[in-house]
Amino acid sequence: MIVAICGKGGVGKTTVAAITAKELSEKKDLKALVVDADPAGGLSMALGLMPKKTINDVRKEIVEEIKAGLRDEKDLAISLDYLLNTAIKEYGNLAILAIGRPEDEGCYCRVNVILKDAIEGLAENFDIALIDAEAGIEQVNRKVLSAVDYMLLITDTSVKGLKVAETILSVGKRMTAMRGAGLIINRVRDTDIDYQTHINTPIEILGVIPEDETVKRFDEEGKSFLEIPPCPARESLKALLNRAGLLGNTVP
Amino acid sequence: MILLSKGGALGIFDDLLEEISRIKSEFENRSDYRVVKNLDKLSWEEGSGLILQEETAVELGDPRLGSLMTLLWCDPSRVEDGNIALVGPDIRHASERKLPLGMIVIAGARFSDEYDCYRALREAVYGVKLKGFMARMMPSRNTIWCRVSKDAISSGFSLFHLGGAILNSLKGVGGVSSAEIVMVTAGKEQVERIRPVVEGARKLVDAMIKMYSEMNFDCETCDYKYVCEEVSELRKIRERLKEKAKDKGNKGK
Ligand SMILES: Nc1ncnc2c1ncn2[C@@H]1O[C@H](COP(=O)(O)OP(=O)(O)OP(=O)(O)O)[C@@H](O)[C@H]1O
Ligand SMILES: [Mg+2]
Repeated sequence: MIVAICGKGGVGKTTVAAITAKELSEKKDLKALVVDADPAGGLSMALGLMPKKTINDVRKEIVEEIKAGLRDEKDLAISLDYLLNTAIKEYGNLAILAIGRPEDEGCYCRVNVILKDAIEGLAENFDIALIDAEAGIEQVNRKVLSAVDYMLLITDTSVKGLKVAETILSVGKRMTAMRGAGLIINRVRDTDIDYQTHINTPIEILGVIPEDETVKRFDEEGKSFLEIPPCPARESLKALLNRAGLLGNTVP
Repeated sequence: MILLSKGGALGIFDDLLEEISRIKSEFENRSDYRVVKNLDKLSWEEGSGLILQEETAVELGDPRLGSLMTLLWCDPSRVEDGNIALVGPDIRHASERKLPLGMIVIAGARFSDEYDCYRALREAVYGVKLKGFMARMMPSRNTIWCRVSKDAISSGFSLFHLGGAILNSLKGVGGVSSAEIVMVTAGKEQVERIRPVVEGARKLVDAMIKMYSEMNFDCETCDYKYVCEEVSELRKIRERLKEKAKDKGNKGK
């Protein structure tokens, strides 16, 4: 199952992805692929696991191979698979891939298509693939996320955050293979409010995550979220992920 | 044109076969050389999937330790059919978690077309999927990188199972009547010994692919038809190349 974490800039996508990765790392019977699809590489940093090379480095390598004479398409696909493996950073049952910053050097659409196939093929080897997407709708629009099964939409308590989530969902329904979606309201200060009845949205609300001092501290001190102790944000996220069947128990 | 000689045996690698014979006799004189022939006793359950580091018992073919692989073909009579040779430790007896890997796969094949032969053999070798074994290859760099899981090793998996699976898969290809494989784990120096053969074969294969890729403008047989249909720029480039080829043909007349 491929799960993409999407939402407006700064609402907590990377935080949710990092804590979810932490939960997945404790499910030893699962294999999880964690994809840092934000060119800024925030998730790799939050996990303290920087891959030695990015997908974009792999793209450059393969373009070099093509320039040097690699012509046969199947050989190209086989080679990409090999190089993709060299970009994986492992941590126990987690495999981490970072997309990196794409630089345009001529048209290598063909490479992008095969690369996307290769990543999707790789994802099939895992019980779950978790993608920390770029803010906004760009990646959904450009079909980068076309293979996504489930969209985990994040918002803060702002109206703008919710509107962006709704837009992403409607675009996602057209541009991806998604079969489900859910909304998480992050950085909630007043957890007593019943958001289910308070917020009017067509998206299924999975739950809320409170504003949390531990999260803030980990972020400020640059600590790896793989070390985060049980704290209110982590507990809430774990509970709602379990309810949604996103921790490998059941398919939503 | 020699590369396109019709029918029967294909001989593009013939010059390399002598060097391979020399290498093989050198290896045969080593005390860590073993050869197994009974293919039918070497079956291993099929399976695929990714093997993570934590599940891995032995990794083979780390480029820093030595990693070289080649696949070539020749007249069936020139193959020591069924031979699975290993120079160096088998994975179960490896004292290290990482081993270098060298591999020469030779198929005795009769095809009417070299490129078809290459594609069929490649499909057979790369299509080998064994439970607890994962391989990644980079044909243009002649490298192979593998992981063997702890489970596979405790169930008795050996490099001879891998060799056997490759040979059996090759023999399932119509046109292939014999096959042999030489594997090297003895050390970087021994793996490097096969480099002249591996690089020699690569040059020939590259040249062959170049020729074919420049002659085939038939979209119906092109694997990338679907990409072209999506990206109009690619289609244009293809059309341009096609015109160019036609022009050349006309000028030649
Ligand atoms: N539940 C929370 N409690 C406290 N702070 C939080 C919480 N969630 C997120 N934050 C803080 O909010 C800020 C933005 O979070 P994060 O980087 O996860 O957002 P993002 O959506 O990934 O942003 P971007 O769009 O820039 O990638 C960070 O400083 C993070 O520590
Ligand atoms: Mg982020």
